[in-house]
Amino acid sequence: MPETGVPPGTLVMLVLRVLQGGPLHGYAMAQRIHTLSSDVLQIEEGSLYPALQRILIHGWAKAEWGISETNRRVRFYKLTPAGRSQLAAQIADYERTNAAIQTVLRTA
Amino acid sequence: MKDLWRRLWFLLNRSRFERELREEMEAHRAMKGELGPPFGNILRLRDEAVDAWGWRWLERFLQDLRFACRLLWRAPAFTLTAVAVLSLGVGVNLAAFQVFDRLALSMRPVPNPETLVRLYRRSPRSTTTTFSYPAFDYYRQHRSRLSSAMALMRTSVAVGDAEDRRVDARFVTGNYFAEMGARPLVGRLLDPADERGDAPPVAVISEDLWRSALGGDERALSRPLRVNGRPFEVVGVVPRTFVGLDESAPSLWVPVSHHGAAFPGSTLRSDWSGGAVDFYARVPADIPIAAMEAELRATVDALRVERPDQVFDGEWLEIRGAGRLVSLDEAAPAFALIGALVGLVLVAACMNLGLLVLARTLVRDREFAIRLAVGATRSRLVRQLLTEHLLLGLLGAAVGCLVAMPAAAAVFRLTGSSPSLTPQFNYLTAVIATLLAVLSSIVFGFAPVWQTLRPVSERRLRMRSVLLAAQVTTAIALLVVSGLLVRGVTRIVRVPLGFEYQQTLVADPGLANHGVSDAAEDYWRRAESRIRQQAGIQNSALSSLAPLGNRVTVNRERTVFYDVTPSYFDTLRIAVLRGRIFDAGEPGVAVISQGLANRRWPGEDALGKTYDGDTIVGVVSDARTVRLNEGAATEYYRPIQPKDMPGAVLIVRVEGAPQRFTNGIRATLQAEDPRLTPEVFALQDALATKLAGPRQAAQLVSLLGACALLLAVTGFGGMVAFTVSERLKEIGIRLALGAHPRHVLGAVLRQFRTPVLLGTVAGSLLATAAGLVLAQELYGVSSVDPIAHVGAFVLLATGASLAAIPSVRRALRVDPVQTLRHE
Repeated sequence: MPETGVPPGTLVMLVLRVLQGGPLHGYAMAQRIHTLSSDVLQIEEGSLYPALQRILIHGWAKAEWGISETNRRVRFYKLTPAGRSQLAAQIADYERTNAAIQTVLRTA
Repeated sequence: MKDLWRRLWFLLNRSRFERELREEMEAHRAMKGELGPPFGNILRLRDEAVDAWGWRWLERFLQDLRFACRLLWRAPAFTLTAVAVLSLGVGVNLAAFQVFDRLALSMRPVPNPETLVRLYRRSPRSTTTTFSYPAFDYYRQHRSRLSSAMALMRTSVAVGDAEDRRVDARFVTGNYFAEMGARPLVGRLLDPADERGDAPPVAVISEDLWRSALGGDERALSRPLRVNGRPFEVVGVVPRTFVGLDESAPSLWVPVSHHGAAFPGSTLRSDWSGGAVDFYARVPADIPIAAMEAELRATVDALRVERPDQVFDGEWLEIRGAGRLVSLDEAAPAFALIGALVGLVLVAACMNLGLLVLARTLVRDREFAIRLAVGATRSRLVRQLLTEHLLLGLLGAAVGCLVAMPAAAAVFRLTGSSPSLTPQFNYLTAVIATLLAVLSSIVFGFAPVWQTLRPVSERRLRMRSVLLAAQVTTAIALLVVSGLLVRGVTRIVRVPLGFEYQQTLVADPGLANHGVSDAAEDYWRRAESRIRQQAGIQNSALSSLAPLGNRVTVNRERTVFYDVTPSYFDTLRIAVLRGRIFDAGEPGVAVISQGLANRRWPGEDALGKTYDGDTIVGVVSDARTVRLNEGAATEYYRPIQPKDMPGAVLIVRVEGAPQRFTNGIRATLQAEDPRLTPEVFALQDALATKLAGPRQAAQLVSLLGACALLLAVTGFGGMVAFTVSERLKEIGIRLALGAHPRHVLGAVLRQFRTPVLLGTVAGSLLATAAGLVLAQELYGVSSVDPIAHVGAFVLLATGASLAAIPSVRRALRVDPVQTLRHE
């Protein structure tokens, strides 16, 4: 299966979702999404960091400096309660839209 | 809301966050390095991420602002001129707004100004502004829901032991100062207890009088002050900041009940027929004015039952708000005219700015071309230019405010307003200044450049012509209007008024004020004969109307009625044209002026005709001693009767300087009745006072005209310089090929002909329209005055030619070889 970028508008949701499992740094997030999607979804750094800045601005996650498993100084992002409810809302939104699209695809 | 705080937090700690982001991304690149594709330019990626903070616009704006600052700094001549031009235009308008604001928009600084009203006597045929004191007192006692009734009587009195110093005085009710919310500087102010009949005569004086006459000494207040020669106890000093019910600054206030103490024999308090006091009051906020007027109708009707002869047919009392110094309705035409004139200065400034910017594009065209070529977008250039003009506008607004406040203060001072009237810088002023300056700067500074961004050269030419024409229009209009005013004022002084005013004095002993009635005839006979015996006195006469006075009796045909003694005509050197002059007290006869004869009986002999029940026995030349500015006014003279004697004034013609005679005449008039404090003045001084208003108006408008002239001349000069530099090469080649310099110049300057001509015509029309309004408001101003129009054009043409000379000389000296090489 070829690698693709994530569909527009879903990157923030995916990032928030992988953060639900615990604090991660940027590279780990990209890796996690890549692995979990069976190597389909490829996260571009050019879109990951603007998305992270947006998440910080909205207060959905907090950033803290820490040491990575490879002994590097990296920034860990930790989901906030606001981020949790935002994630729930986005997933609900996404599922509704997805279901609608599916319906159209099946019946049209 | 929280988002905004976080954004601000990011902005404030921007460099730290940028550094951290970069570090984070470098770590990411290092971890990924072995595996994936290259990361790309880390700086570009970081900038894109930073965009998420949403501060990009601010960053660009600051960048533009820095660039604009540098540009303006590097072109100091342009910046200084542009800011000067803008602040001139804005400053003049702000000053006018300050005056307008203080006079007509702000409420008087008194408690509850919105409830303050003034009452007028109205009837279907007339409006009377003053009440007799007994009538005021009647309404005060039967005032229904009207509260705080106040009377104010304007007069002048002599103060000090020598009685040679006349000051403006007000007789007021005891509640006046409390209602005005005034606090004393020293001592106490008047209160209702001072108004009681048995109270000793007291007065309060202004801070200015206290300082000038008593040296600002508190102990001096314990000595009585002589008012009209009578001792008054001064109980307090009114500070300069006091604002009363009139805009002038009186020097002395006395309870109205003590009128008799200053004017012995005064019948003010008992005379129902006199009309002397202004009537102010308060209408509680919850009562509509109409309801209050309806209530007062009942009171007027009740008074009619008691005193049928003292109430007009169909009289009612009209209530008008008095919370502002000048009511907006009354002052609207004057303010509209002033607004139009200062608006013209702003237009002139905008046009000048437009021309300045246009001339500068010669330099900037290249800069724009280069920036476009290296990849700047047009919108980015536009944004950059907007920022530049925003900066210019803000600078103009700031300097304009700095200029406007002292200018407005000077206007208040020049027009002799109360010292409490000072311009006040408020947020509205700041908003107006910013709006005017920034809009002018952006619209007129930016529009011409906008044209240069689209390379169609004709457009720019048209823009240039429009700017030039508008500039000429405003300059001509303002110059003509100031010319009209200046000439109006000088005409009154130069053109004979039809009577002798250089050698005459007017003496008014104020007999009526002192209650002298039947004895007046005898008094005048004695006083006049004693005055006539003095050396240097040529002739004298009695008249019911003081020349240049404010009192006047006029009928509907604008005929002014004079009751005079027969010597009146010789005293004022009014020529007898036909018939004879009446004898003293001769019944049933009258003398009329030539103007009245021509209007009433055109082409006929007026002698022997009857008018108003009198037979006309003589026709004299026109002599406008009152209503100087009114062309239609005519004179009608009847022999003075004993009943007119108490209100009469004495007119004296003398040899030499009239001012030398004032003390002698005053002493003689007083010797006949020691209670009197006569007022004696030379007519030429009174004329100067009377002309002060129009003269100030003329000065102020001339100043505006000078501003517009300066703007137009510099604008035109700049325009010519611009055109010449633009076409320097062409001029050089033409001259080298042997063209006559005159032809070359003609070709270069031809483009200015149409705009200048159009501007001149439009300016003249505008000025004529303004003149029509002015002619109604000010003495001696006529709307069509060829000299003013031609004068304005000559002035502008001369100025413009002088401004163009340097550029023209530069054009003629041009060396074609050098110009070509330069390119």
